Amino acid sequence: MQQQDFDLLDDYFNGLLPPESEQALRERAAADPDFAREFALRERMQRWLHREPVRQAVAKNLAEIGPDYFTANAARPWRVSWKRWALLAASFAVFAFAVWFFALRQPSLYHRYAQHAPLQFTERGAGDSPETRAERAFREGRYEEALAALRTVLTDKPGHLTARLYEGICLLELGRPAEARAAFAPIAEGTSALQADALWYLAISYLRENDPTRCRETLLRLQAGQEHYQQAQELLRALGR
Amino acid sequence: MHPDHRYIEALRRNDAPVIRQLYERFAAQARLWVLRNNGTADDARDVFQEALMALFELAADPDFVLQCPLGALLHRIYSRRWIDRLRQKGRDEAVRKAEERRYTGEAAPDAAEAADAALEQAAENARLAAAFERLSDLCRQLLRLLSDGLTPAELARELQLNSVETLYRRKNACIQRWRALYFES
Repeated sequence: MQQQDFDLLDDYFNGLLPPESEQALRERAAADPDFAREFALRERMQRWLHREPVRQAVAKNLAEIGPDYFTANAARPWRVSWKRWALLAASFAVFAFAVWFFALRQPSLYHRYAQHAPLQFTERGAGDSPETRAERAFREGRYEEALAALRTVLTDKPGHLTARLYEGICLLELGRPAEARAAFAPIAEGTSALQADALWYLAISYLRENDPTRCRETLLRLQAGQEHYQQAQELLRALGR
Repeated sequence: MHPDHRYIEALRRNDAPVIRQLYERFAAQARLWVLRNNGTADDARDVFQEALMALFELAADPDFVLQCPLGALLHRIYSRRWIDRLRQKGRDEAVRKAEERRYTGEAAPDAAEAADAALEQAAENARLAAAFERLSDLCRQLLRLLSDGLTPAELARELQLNSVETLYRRKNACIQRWRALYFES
């Protein structure tokens, strides 16, 4: 590997190469083992960085949930008395009723698929910065408030893609899918790390409006290997392709 | 695709209610296994969490699809993590017993392969993370902000750099430093 090879990789990962040079670089990565190793490492570094906020959120979540299931006394053998059996039978009856009741109220496809990753900005302001307010309100499902805070962030940084994406998600949750699409569309047309997220949410916005045709068309734009591809395939099957 | 794949999706999305269901289904088994192998409830909690984080890293590959029961895969991962810990503590007799019990009750051939991949991915990410933590504050901030979706022009302004070209030069230097630290480790 020469310095010029590293420079080439820098330009590729900075999105500065014209499409024909990108293609040539990918072909070289397929044919030249040394170059392929460097290329793969750079891809792993990029992916690691992209996933870092979610990784931290997952670790935090696990650290909070774990102690509930791993106390010293958890899973102690349980002696079943007749009272407990009676209680169990009553619980079973309630459970059976609940299953019957909720089976009649299947969540819509939109609610099944509109599962949002937590909003987490890498840069943090002071304790009550708009970023922090947006994160908190989004986490607690207060989408009006989250939207207002995100718009404050966007006034300052109109090109902030994470803020723009979550602005769209808030609008979606507030039942304003057309406005949400105005937020998603430019990201979906771009080449940023959030492009696949934006495409996915564009599709979900059509689901919100019960427009399976356009939802399907949008889902088909997600490529194998992109984020949400598996979910898109599932949803396509649920929509009957 | 195995029906337990929904737990992989939950980890990808950090979906707390479904992750809690995952604990409800599998945590007791992990706890019991670690307790039987000279560990405590806290040890069990730690290795179970490490196993879930390893799965999270495996799920980073959008093409990853779970083909085996999750319980079998988790068992493979946390038991190996626990045996590694015992080995580090030099408790040879305990290691031998744990090795004997390692795969009893598990008969999922795909689980071994997926566990290898998960542990390898987790080790690779730990190496990247350790190298990243040794970067300067500026490098860490710059790389995180760029990955977070700020445009280069906005970031150049935020970091008070002269131009986008300067930003790219800084970024490239940070990446090279990160790479060098990665290979040092």
